[in-house]
Amino acid sequence: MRGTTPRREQGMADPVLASMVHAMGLESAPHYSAAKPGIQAYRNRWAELAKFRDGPVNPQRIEGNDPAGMARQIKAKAMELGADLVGICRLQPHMIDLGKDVPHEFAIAACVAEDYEKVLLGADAVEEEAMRVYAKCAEIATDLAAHIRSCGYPARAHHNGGREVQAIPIFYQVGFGELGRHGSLIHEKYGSSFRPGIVTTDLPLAEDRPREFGVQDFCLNCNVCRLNCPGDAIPDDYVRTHGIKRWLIDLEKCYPYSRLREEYCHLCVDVCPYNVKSHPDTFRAFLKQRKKVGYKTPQSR
Amino acid sequence: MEKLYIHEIRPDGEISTVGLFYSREEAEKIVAQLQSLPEKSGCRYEIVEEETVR
Ligand code: SF4
Ligand code: SF4
Repeated sequence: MRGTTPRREQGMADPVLASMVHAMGLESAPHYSAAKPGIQAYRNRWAELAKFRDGPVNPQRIEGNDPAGMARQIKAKAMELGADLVGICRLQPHMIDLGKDVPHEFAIAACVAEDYEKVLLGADAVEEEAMRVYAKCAEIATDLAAHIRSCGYPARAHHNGGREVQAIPIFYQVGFGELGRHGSLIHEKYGSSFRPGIVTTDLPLAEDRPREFGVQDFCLNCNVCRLNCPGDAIPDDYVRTHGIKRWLIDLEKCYPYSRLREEYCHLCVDVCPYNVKSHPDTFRAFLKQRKKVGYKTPQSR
Repeated sequence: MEKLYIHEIRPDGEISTVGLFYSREEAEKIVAQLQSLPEKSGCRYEIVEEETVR
């Protein structure tokens, strides 16, 4: 199946970032050049796993005539590997990168939640936690894909080390939640404080369904992420993509704070009230810090 | 930097925004890729500065 959704390249492969960095007379974005060894180790981990994304399929196939039972088993396996959230959907062209071919029928999202407590420790701690979780997701997706192949069905892992699918449309379709104004998908318990590992496969699986619980309506009146964004990069107005509201972050305004400074910026996600359910005290303490330093101040404590 | 939205106008008139892009060259390349897909053959594309279709 061929994909229809353009992917914005990450890192210096993104032409917007590259042109801003070169205009500063630099070779690389200060945020990447300043990466600490711990963070670099996590990046190396998902790069190492890139070569294990796909592989040979066991010619002895297990029975695939109980999609509901198989979905339960796969979800249990993903949880055993360390996932906090698992959902399954049928793969569709808008979930795949424009022009890329993914020859599978289903997508499994196996996500890991970040430790939200880190927000009180500042941007470096938040970044290290995000990278730890990305690396964990890469490990889970790799192991889950290998497990499915050992059952006799093709399966490929998608993570930071290599991917052809897009997390947000898959998250929506498997019922994790709804897209928020800050551009990330919001889960009712974890907010947007979770990261993706995805497996595509032909193993017959029962599908989950999208779940809406009022996020997009809430965002229309809540502006907490906008008020806190140091770059004013989060818009008032939304567009619609495949019928779903989408607030498009202005990268030219975001990058001066999230890539062209050494410090990480994740404020839009960290201040979102959907974090309150899982971490009520930390969320309130963090918002108190934000008020003290001043909204739109590019520092997290 | 230029800011350009690509809007997809489907045969039934539904409008779906593809995204926000920062150069006409990048936006045109994406539209050409979309137009080459058989399932998009009935769609029209607009590259505009506005968040909505003219
Ligand atoms: S990462 Fe920072 S600068 Fe970028 S949109 Fe979020 S809060 Fe704004
Ligand atoms: S902070 Fe408010 S407006 Fe922003 S994503 Fe969260 S709920 Fe929506």
